[in-house]
Amino acid sequence: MNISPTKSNLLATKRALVFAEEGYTLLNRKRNVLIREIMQLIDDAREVQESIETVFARAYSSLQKANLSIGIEYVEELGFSIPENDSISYRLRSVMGVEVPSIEEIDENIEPSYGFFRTNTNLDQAFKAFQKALSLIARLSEIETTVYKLSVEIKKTQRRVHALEKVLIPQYKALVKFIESYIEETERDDFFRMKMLKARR
Amino acid sequence: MKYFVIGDEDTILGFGMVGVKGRQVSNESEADAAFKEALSDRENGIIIITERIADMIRPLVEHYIFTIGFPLIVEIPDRLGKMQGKPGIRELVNNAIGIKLQ
Repeated sequence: MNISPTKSNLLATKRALVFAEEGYTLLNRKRNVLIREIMQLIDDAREVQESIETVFARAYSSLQKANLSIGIEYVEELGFSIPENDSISYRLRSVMGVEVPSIEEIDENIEPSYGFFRTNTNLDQAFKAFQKALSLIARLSEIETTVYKLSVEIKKTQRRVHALEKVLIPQYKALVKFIESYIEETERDDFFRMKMLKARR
Repeated sequence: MKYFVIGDEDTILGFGMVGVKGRQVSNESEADAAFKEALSDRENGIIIITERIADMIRPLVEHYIFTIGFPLIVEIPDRLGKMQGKPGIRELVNNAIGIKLQ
């Protein structure tokens, strides 16, 4: 760095160093908090993902049975009669300055809007399974989105922590050392010069 | 807000039963169009997409998941079950942040 080695520059650099170190501690703490948060969420996510897999396996097999027993066209027609599901609503909350969604409790019990005529238990099972899947999906979407957003934030924080730790702080330290030694050197010079003058007189 | 499903015949049929509209797709350009259609309606709060179809338009999906964050996107297994060799959420995160979480 191209800074003239003066006393005032030394003070300024020392201040900057203290500031950088403070920032480093803060960011490091932020990173740790985020990582702890994300680890918790990843465990949750895996749990939900596993139950989604089993629910879907059941849903597809009962759907297939329903299709076979009452005909795929009829199942499709039933879909038209069902009111559109618009039950989701979510708010954004903030985790260390990252906005993450949080889904409000959704109503799991949609009434089947088909009658007993020409339908059977397979269809009921498929209906139930897809309903369950839907509520799991809402939960999973919340967790996954949070995980992804936090991971982006962790990456950013990580870069900043590294920049401070590996570049800025060493740079400032080297600069302080350079200015200090230079000032000492000039002091010694002056001191010696004084002595010479004194001796000559 | 509503759900929107992008999937094959079975997923559309199944979710149709519980009141979720969707678009059936079978190739990349259809997937792309359906995804954009889903995004264009601000009422769609959650987009449900099968893993196989999400894989066709992976960069687009990833872009929305990681940088935009709205609407929420969920990948689900299709009738053939979970895809083999698909990285789990932990691996995705490890790759994204470049550190190892145990």
